[in-house]
Amino acid sequence: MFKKILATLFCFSLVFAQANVNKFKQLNEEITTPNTYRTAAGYPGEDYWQVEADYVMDLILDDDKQRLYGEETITFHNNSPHPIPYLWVQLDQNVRALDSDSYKVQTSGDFGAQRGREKVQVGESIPLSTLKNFYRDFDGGFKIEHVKDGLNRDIPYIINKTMMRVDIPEPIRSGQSYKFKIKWWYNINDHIRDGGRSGYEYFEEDDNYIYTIAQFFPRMCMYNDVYGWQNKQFLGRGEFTLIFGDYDVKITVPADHVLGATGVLQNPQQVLSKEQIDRLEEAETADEPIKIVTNAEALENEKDQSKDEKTWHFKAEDVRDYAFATSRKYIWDAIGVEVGGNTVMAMSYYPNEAEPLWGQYSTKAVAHTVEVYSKYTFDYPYPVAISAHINYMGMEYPMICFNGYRPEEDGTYSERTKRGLIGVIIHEVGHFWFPMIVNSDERQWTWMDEGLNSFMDDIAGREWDTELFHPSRNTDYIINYMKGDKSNIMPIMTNSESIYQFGANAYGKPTLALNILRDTIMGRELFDYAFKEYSKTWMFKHPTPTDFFRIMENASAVDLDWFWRGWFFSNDHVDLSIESVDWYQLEMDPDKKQSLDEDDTQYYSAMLDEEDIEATVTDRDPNTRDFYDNYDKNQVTKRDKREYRNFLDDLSDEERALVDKNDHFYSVKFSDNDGIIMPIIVQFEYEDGDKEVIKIPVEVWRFNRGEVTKIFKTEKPIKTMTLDPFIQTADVDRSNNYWPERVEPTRFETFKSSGWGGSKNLMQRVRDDAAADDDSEDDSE
Amino acid sequence: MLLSLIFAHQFFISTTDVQFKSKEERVEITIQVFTHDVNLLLENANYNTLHLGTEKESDEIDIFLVNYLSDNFIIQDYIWKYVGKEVGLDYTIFFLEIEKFSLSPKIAILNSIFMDLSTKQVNIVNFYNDGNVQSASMTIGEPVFSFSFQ
Repeated sequence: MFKKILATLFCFSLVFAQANVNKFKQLNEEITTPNTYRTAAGYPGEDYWQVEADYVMDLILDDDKQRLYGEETITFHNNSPHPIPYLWVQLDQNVRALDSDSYKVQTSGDFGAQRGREKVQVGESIPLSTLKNFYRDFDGGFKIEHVKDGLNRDIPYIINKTMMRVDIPEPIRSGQSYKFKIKWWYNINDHIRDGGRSGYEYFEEDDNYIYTIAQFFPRMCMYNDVYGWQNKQFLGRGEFTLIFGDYDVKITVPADHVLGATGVLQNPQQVLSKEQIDRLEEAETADEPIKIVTNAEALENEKDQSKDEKTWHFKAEDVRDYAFATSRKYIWDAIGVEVGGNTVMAMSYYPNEAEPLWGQYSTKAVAHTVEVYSKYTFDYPYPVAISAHINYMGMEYPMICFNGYRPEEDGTYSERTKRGLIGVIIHEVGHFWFPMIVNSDERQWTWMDEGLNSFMDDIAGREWDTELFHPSRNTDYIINYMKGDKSNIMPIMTNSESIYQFGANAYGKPTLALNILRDTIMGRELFDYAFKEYSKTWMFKHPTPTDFFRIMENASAVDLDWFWRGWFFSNDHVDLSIESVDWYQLEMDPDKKQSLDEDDTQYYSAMLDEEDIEATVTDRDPNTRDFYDNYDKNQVTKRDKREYRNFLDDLSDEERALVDKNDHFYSVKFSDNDGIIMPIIVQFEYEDGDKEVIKIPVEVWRFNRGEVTKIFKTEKPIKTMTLDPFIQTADVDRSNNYWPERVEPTRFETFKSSGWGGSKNLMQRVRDDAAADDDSEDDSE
Repeated sequence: MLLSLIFAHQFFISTTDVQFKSKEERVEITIQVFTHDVNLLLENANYNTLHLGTEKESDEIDIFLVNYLSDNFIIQDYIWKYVGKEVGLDYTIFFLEIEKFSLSPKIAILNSIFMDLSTKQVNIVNFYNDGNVQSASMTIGEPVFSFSFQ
């Protein structure tokens, strides 16, 4: 028996020549070559640089016409090593211009961004939401009044859809800055009707608006070492690629508005009452959120519409963007959160319509997210973290995010709404880290901010409530998504605009992948260190996917090329299986072995023969019998015993001890079924009921054979084996994960056996009756 | 942006497993969709979804949903029977079954669930014929797929 094992092992050492399609082939052509800007370890290199832009803006909100007017001065700092001959500025509002490409490139399968906002005709072949695209009347888009230099001279510019090239008179040399001004205005979109990542919501009852304003000013494009100018057009999906800078912003709104914005308020004395300033101060050290503007005050505010104006003045440092929310309907609450020795003000702005849900949860969810993300990445570096309400939204900006979800009119809400609200706030506040600070290129890679952030918000969600945010919710869904038809699945490493199934691909699958990486492949300690290292390293910088892949490996000493290849560069799924199990024991004492070898299997014909045949020839005629008839092949011969003695004599003391142990050996063949490889995690259940989990590193698959056989030594006989017993490898087909083979009850069977239909008798009857009628018709045909 | 699991979410997808059990001549069907989509569908039809999936859910909701499924999930030559549904916070699963089912060389399946909510909707249908599986993605352009069993 020993020989058989050795022979098997020997077999494994053979190597077959073949082209390198090995799943462990290192990533080379798939990732960028390291250079002096970005190192092979995933860090900024000695020549790393990034451009910056500072903004001074004066804004006026027209609450009668729903317009925003602005004048901005941009100071662009060319920190690149080369001269820059022209500047590109992003005009994101042009995505809503009447002639926008975002409408032209839509195909019939792309419409539906406004899903759910209106009644659709069930059963029609073209939804109304699609037809609506042919009747656009909203005159969106920037109206550029002028572009001037520091001396108020006009500068020529050309607008290419959502991008504007500013033709500066001379190239900006390396290390130089250039100042220019843009005057503009635009019509604010009705977010509830037209969607979008900003806009207004109108409240008919009290004739008031909530404004959540973003992408509202011409913004500098990114210029970097990877793509040069990142001026890929905004088509509505791939989000924003932006550079850091300081902002000095004055916003003029109706005097009765309550306004929240990116940055620190510079003139509280002018826009807040003494009482409000006192409440804010009280909130800094409060145990529960304090209302700066109470529900009653907000209700009072929305009764009249002030014709006076107030100008709110904010400053923000090291931010990549700017946004604000304003309304006379807003309640405002706040609480101080201690982070790394600083007090961060977690705040929320919401109307009475959002109560009681928002007062209970919003600011607490903001504070929770700030604490959890700070723990796993770096201390939140900004002074405020804001959640502002507008319905049907979930969108992030530096220090402020806009979130939907509100209760029913009677103040009740479902658990889904509650989970939705807490979930959206954690997610959007999480974006303050990714990509607002760890500033990846969203236009190119959605997964780098949405994937990383969804993964992190999953952790923060679980730390809020493990049941409400149970890991199964994403895992089960993505496994189901990955197992199916591959024609609608793209690798995660696909440009934002070209992804099918955006949510599953750029949010859910990276979340599952990183969870598996953390819990199953690397372990939490190694992963958390590497992830923190990535976050800290690229804080206030611009990482690429390659930088992320490299730093995770470099900081952990875990070869992850196979993992990135399978999970990020392919659309494969995982399906490990147990193919066969053989059981062995070491060479046994012939006396013990005899009892095992005696074959007591009975054959039916032989059993009948015993009754039917009175005597055979060999019974009747002794002369027909010889040695072989008298030899019991199961009898232990002297030779057997001698051989066994010799066998024992040849063994060393150590080997002798092995034989005496009488261990069991199980040779188990596993298959990867041509999918993504994973560590083999198998649980043995012994005959005495004990259980043990064995984990074999993923390198067991390194010869790329598709099948591996492992031999396990156990002291006790094994009753069952289960592959991936705790759902930690995203295995899409669990039916082949058992030995002995087990038929898993399907979802259907589980449902039926759980007493289906008990509470739904009416439906049951209706459908059963209908089906019975149909059946009888079928029978009669 | 939060697309996952909220309003303008971009998971325009459902997964349907059609399990043919030849010995029992039965087909068991599970249709997994987003609860969010079920909500939208019901709200568009003016149902209150507050109690969806709870004891207080009105029977009318089930009747509406079964009628909706009858229009949008069809297996050629057969009428399925509604077994029930499981409403989770994220996903809802509908359970259907067909008895006295036999495999013909071609079986066409229409799955246009939620294509009226979004033309981006993709409905993946996995047809398990004992051990073998065939998989198809239904879209608004081609909501019907013909599975072959030669």
